[in-house]
Amino acid sequence: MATNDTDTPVDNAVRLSDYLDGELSEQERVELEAELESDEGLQAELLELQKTLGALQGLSSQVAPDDFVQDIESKIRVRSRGRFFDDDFFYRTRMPYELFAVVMFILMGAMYFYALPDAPNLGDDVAAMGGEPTGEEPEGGSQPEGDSPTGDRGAKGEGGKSDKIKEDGAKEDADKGDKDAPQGESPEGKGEGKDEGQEGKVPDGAEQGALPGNGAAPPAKISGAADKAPKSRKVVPIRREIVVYTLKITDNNPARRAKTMAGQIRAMGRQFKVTSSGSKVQVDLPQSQVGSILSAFGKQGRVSSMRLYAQSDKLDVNRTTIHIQVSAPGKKNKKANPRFP
Amino acid sequence: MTPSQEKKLIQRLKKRDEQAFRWFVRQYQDKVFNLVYRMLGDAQEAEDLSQEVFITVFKSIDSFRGDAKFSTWLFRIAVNQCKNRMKYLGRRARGRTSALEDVPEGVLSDSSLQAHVPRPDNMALGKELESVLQKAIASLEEEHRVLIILRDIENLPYQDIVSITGLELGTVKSRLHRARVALKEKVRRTYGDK
Repeated sequence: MATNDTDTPVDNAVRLSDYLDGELSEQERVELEAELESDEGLQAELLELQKTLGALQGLSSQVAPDDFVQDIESKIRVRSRGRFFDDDFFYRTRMPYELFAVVMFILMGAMYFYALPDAPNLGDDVAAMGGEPTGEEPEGGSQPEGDSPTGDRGAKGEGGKSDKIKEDGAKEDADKGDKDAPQGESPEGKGEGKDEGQEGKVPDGAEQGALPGNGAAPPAKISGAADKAPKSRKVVPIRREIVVYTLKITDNNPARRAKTMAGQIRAMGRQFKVTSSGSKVQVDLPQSQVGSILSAFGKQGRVSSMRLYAQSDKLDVNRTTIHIQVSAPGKKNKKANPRFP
Repeated sequence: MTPSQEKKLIQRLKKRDEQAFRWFVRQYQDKVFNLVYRMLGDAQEAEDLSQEVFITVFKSIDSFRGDAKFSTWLFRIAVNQCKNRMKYLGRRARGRTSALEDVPEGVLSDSSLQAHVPRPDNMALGKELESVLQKAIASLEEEHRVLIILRDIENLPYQDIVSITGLELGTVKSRLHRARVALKEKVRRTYGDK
C-alpha cells in the first residue's frame, strides 16, 4: 500500500491510484485529501489521472461478430474431423443429395418390379411333376400360349432379341416378301431365354395369322404374310423341345374309366382337345394348363414325363400332350409276380 | 452465474455437450472479444484469436480443476494466447495496430479530452479520442497493457487479476499504478504535441 511519506512522482501516482480505487485506509485518505488541498500540482495530477481512467472506462465495448459461434463450431468440426458439431452439417449439406438419390433408386426399383409381368407358371407345373423346366420358361409361361396373339410378347421379346435377328428378318422381308421375320433367327440364340421365347412365339402367331406389334417386322406386312407363311417359309432347322407327359392309371374297367376321364377333361375347358380310344386318352393342351390336369388326375396314377426334341419350326412348343393310359390291375401283377407252381 | 450453475455448466462442457458450449460461448464471447481486441488492437486478429480461445476451452476443459472461477480460467487462457500472438506478430513485424494508424493526429484537439467530465459512466468518447487511447494502450509494455485492460477496461477485481496473471497482489497494484501513469503520460504527450 502506498504511503504519503514519499515524494517521488511514482509514489504519488501510486497513492493517487489507490485513492481512485478506494484502496487507501481512512487515515491515508484523509491525509491525501489534506495534501491535495494545499498542493495544486498534486491536484492537477489527480485530475489528469482521473480523466485518463474515466476515458478508459468510457471506451466502447467491442462486440463479437454475429457468426462468431458458427465459426467456432465450424473450426471445431473441421479439426475434429466431424466428431463434434457435425449433425447439422450432415443434414444441411450432404444428406439431402444422398437421401434424394436413395429414394429415387428405390422408386425406380419399385417401378421396375411393378412393371414386370407375372412369373411364369410352366416351370411350376413341370417342377410339380418332377420334370425340368424347358428353355421357354422365362417368356413362354408368361401367358397362355397360343390363346392370344403374340403382339405384346413380341414387343417384350424385342429387347432381348439380338440385332442380328432383326436385321435378318428385315432383309428377308425386303428380298423375298417373307413376312415371317423370325426365320432369320439363328440357332445360336437357343440358349437365351428371351430369344427362345421369341423364337417359340412368333411361328405360333404366324400360324394363327396374328402377329400385331411384332417387333421383327411391321404388323401390316406380317398380317398379310400369315397366309403365305407356310409356302414361303424358309426352312431353317430349329431345334425345339417340348415335354410330353404320361399318366398311367389302373382300374378294373379301363374303358369306362378312360371315357369318364375324357368327359371330365372336356368339361374343364375348350382349351383341352381330348381324343379317346378305348382305354387311352390323349389330351392336347397348352403347357400352362398341364398343372391343372395333373393336379386333378395325377394322384390317381403315376405320372412320367419325356422331353422331345424336334428340328422343325412347325412344332408348337407352347402346347403339349398328356397321354392317359388306363389299364386293368390284374395283368401286370401276374406277369411281374408269377404264381409259384 | 451462481456457483452451482457454473458447476453444472462445467460438467456439461466436460461431456462435450455442444448445446452447453454454444450457450457458454454466447455468454462470454463479447467479453473475450473485447479483451482480445484491446490487447491486439486489430479486429480481424481479435476475432480469430477469440475463437481460438473458445476452441482451447472446448479442447482442454478437462484440465480445469475448479481452483479458480471458470471465468478467470477463461480470461487466463485469453491473456496467454494474446501474449503468444503478440510475440508472433512482433516477429512478423505485424505487431502494429493498423486500424489506429489511419487516424490523422491533426483531428485531435486538447479540448477533446479536457472538456469531458471525469465521471466515466457518463463519458461518451469520440472516435478520435478512443483511437488515441487504443494507440496509447497498444504502446504500453505487455504486462502494463494486460493490467490496464483487466482492471480499468474489464473492471475485474484485484483478486481475479491475481488469478489471471499469476502475480502477487502487491505486484499487481504497483505495476498497475505504473501502467496508469505511463498511459496518462502517453495521452498527455499526444495532446502536448498538438
